[in-house]
Amino acid sequence: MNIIISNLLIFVSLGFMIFGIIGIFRFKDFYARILISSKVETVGFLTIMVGLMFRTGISYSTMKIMLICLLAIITNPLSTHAIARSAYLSGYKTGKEN
Amino acid sequence: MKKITGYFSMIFIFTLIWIILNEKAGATQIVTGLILSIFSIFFANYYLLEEEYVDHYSLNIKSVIKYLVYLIFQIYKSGFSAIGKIIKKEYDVRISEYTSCLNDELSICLLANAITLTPGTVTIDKNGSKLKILSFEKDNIGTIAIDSETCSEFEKILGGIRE
Amino acid sequence: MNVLEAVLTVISILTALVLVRVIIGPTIWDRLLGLNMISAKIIMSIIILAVLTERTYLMDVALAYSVLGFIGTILIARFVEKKGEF
Repeated sequence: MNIIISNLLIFVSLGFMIFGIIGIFRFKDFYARILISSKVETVGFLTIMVGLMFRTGISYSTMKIMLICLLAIITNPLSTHAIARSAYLSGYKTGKEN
Repeated sequence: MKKITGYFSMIFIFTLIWIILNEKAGATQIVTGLILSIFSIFFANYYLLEEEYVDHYSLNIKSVIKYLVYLIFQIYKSGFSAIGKIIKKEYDVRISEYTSCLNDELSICLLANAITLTPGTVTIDKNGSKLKILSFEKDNIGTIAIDSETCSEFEKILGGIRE
Repeated sequence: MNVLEAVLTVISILTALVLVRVIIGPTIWDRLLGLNMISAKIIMSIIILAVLTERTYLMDVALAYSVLGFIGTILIARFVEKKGEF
């Protein structure tokens, strides 16, 4: 039963990741790309980690995966924010076509 | 008194992480974990951080758990809306300013973190309690309504985060 | 074929697609975004490998890699923002 739930969650997260890749190629503007794609990535990351937690059961490896999840929740928005701020302060205009 | 409880909870959390990394909860692991966490706290106090930080970063555990649960719910809710945006291909973006009704540094940083983590919005700049937010043209900003006078749900939760 | 092996293959293909964005990306920030996504995908693959082969020490590698990828992204973003001065 655990294996079925875990497989389902892993497939859902693969769907999220594929949409993130589509988003990164579909948008022409850098700001739109950073708004969508890296966040869909976060959702995919959390979902696949929960799916793998169902597979390992209650053990020390589950706690390690939880530690990695917590670290990802803290650091992922910080790096996105750093990239967007760097582009904004360097004078990248909105709506500029590439 | 508050300082001592802060140090004790820090030592407890560090020892817990040490046990998880060792994958074993024997006597040796607990003793080495305690010694290492006390040593690292002293090292940070004497060499890395000059100012007092325990009072600034004391958190209310209940609010932190509420914040995390609400945050994960919001992440999933707006993840699905982001997929809709990818299919419809909207890419008009705008930069707007938002004045938060919080006035505590740590709470504002946590609010900015939450705004960045939900798809559709990225915090660019912070000046006092004013945040510059990058978002899509069409929708009002994902988790916070920009024109409303009252505080949003996140700010209500974060209001009680300090002990 | 095991499910996890298939998932690992799909993630490798997706990483190659992100690499295309890194190569053609017109600005340096596109490349940084791609770097960030690639490091997230590498962490995922390491953890899947750890669960697949039941070697828990690989998760420590993932922990260290996530910290290092974060520091690298922040460092390059700050470096570009300050135009090469620190």
